Amino acid sequence: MSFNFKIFKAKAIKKYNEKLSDEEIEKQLNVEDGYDKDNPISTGKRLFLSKIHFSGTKKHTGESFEYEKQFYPGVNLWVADNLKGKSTLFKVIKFALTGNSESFNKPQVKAWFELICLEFKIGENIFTTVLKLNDGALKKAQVFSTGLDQALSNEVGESHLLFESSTFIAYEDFIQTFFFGQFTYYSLKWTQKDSGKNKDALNIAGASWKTYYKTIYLESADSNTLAMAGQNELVFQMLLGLELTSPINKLKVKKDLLEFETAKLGGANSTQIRANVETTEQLNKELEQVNKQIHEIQSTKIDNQLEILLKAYADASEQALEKQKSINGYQRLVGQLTEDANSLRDKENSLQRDVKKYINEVNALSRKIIDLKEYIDLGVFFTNLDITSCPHCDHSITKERKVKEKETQACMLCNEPVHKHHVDTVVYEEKIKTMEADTDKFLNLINMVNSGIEQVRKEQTAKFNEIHRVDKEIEALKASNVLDERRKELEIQINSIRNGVSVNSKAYEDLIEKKGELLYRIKSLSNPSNNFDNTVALNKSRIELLNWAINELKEERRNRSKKITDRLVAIMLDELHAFGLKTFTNIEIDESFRLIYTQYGDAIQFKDIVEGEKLRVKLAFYLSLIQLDVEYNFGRHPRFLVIDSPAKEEGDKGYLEGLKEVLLHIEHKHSEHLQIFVGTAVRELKNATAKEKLVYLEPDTFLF
Amino acid sequence: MTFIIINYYSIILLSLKKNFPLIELFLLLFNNIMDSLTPQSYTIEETEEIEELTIRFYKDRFRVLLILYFFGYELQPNERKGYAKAFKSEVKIQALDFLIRNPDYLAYELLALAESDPEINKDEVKKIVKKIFGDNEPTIRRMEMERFFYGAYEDIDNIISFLKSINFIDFDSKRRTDGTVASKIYYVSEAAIEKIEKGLKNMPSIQWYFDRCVLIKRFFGDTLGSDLKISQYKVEEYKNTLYKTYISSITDKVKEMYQKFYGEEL
Repeated sequence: MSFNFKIFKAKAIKKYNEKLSDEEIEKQLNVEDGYDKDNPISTGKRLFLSKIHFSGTKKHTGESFEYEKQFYPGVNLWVADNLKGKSTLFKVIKFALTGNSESFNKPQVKAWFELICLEFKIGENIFTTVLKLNDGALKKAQVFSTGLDQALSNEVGESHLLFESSTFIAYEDFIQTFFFGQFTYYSLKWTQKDSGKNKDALNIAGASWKTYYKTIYLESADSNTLAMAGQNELVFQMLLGLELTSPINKLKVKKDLLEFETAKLGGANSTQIRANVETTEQLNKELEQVNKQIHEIQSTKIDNQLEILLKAYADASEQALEKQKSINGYQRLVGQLTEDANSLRDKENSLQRDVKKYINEVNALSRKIIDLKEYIDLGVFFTNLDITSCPHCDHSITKERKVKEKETQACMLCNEPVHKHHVDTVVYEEKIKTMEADTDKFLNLINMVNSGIEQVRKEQTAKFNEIHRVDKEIEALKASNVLDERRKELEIQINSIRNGVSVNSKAYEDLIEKKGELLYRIKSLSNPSNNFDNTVALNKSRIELLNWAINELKEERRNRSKKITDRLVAIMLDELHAFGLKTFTNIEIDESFRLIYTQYGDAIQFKDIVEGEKLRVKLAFYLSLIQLDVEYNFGRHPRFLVIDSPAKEEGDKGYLEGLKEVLLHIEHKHSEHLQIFVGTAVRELKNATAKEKLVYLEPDTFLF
Repeated sequence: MTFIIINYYSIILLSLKKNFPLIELFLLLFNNIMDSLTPQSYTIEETEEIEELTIRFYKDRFRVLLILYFFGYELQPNERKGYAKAFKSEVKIQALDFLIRNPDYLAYELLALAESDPEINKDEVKKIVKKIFGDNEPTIRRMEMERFFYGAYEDIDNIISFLKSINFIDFDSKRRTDGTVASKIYYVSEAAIEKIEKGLKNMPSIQWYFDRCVLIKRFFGDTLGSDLKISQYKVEEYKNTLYKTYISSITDKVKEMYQKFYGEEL
């Protein structure tokens, strides 16, 4: 749920309206980035180092070196004597990940390196940073969005190049932006006195990626604090990402600056000030009134006009929508009608085919009828004729031959057998009658089908007329751009009102004039030359307001984040107990994000914890943060830790056993979710992780 | 009661009409030789095919007789005893027969005549063509005819022989020195004329033929056979018809021509 600034502001105005104008209160409470910047939900991302490669020459011996190492999830352990390169390895990593050239404590060691390549993953994405150095100076820094081997090959590397520069500053800047982006960090601010000549100045400092890297690289020297002196709480807040952290931080900085400024103004003439303050307050009240009136005129006038215009615009839009709907509806109708017309046309064609078929039938029947009629008549005619002569030789046919043909059934001319076929004309006449009846039937059928065709055609014509009509409707609708023009016109009017160009009236102009005059008088009164006390008083009110606001917000944050902090504390207490620190019975997080531990019934802070227990508390703290992320999806620690020489200050036997247990515990329990690099000279710790993750150097041997 | 004599000729005709392959013809000839040795009996079933064939057979005889009767010129008394009319050339028989059998071509010839001959009554031609098409004649009166070398031709020797055997006609052939027939003159007997005028003329079923012959005679009676054929030959469809295939219908062409000439649809 986002923070309701309006209610917050109203509350402030109610409380401080006698001392400060509404505008002043709003001005003080407004912060860059607003009140909703923070979100405690985890990004789900983690930093995982997969491979390192570096080479160079040890200047003091002239010996060249090359080191390459694959890293594992979980606990990666280096066991070697002191001054054999463990810390240097961690510093190389820090250098590669932050770009901070101060990473190396000794400048001469920095000068050893010629090439440093580090391959790492954030979430599923793989990156490689490649640093080329010459005598401690940067030759080239590159960041690739691919693995180390590909990054170094010219063809592949080129296409995955994200960044390239040859200055440390540019690289540091890039890598900060890069990690801030990846883990949604931003720079929390604090104020500090100028350490140089100008002791009267208060500077604003901001937490950088380098600052946050302190929560990754736990150097033994920092054992007195959780992360970095002075900014523990800020870093902790960033790692948790609790709501309202950003506005609290900004208001605090604002308040610090105001307090500093006010303190500087300390001893000014108080009577003069009182008078000025009263006048100023009077003027401010008047100004507030004038502003209110101006605002009212503006808003009523604008609101009325705007309301009418917006309604008109909404109506026009509604109408345009209706118009489009009608067009769409008409188009669908045309589609349907066309489909209907087509199916009618198909029907007509099919009927036409039927007619053609029937006509063919009728024709065939007519021919047949003609044939049969002729057959009957001509048959009678031709068969009743006498053969009188031979067409070949012209001899007359005798009566005897004719008689003989009747007796023998052999042709009187050629002697061939004659087949006499008996034809019953009645049968043929019947046949003709049937055919004529059939013809009539077909003719009737044709008439019927033709009237069917006529009907279908009429329907088609109706459909086409309808299509034509609807098309015209669509055209008319499309052609009319009255609505569009109306909308354009309204848009112009609305915009001009919104841009505030159209308010004009006598009363309004008078008010604007009065406002100008008041502002001038206030300004001349608040002139620092005669206004120290006035400013001091005003600043005191402002500080009061800011203090109130900060406390309100902290309370709000506390309420909103209670579940998260409760969980964190519970996890951390479990971790402490698992690390053997059973004397810790409670942990609380106060409103400034300090951790308050209860040990032997007393409330103590980190600095009060005995040396032999500090590292474990520190580890428990970071592991809890990581666990909060893994198990509950809150917070944003990169889940990568580097612990250098954890046993230096806590060298007793019992502690070592405890530390070994802790590391084994981490390796077994959290191996998949985090990565921890541990460098130690204490050989007893060599069994604190899986065998393949251990680098064990015999005495007097160098890591590289 | 009618007796139908189906003789040897009709079988030949059948084989020709059906475009029997040569082997069939050979078998027929072979059978012919065998006939002299063993008398055969043809039992022809009365199928529709035979029926049609017989009908066609009668029609052909009748048409040729009618052509000779209508288009023959009167003989002088006693010019040839027992014969009243004479008709010259087989080609002319073929040409006139073609016009009877293809009403669409007749319509075409009529329209062509109306176009070219100013003395022809165009309105009359219009009426006639309109009636021909109105009665659907090009479809129901059409009897396909083969194209034979230079024109429509069907063998009419059998028909002529038959008509001669019943003493309806007689003919003379004028031969060239090489023995080929140069021209034929057909004579129509008085007996035939009497039979036609007393018998055939009264039969309603064949009235159409009489009318048609009158019509053709009116318009083309003086035209020689070879002239007619040349006119027919001008029609693309007729010209393009392959040797021994049927001449196709030209109804669409006639309709087009009619439309062009009379400015209205047929």
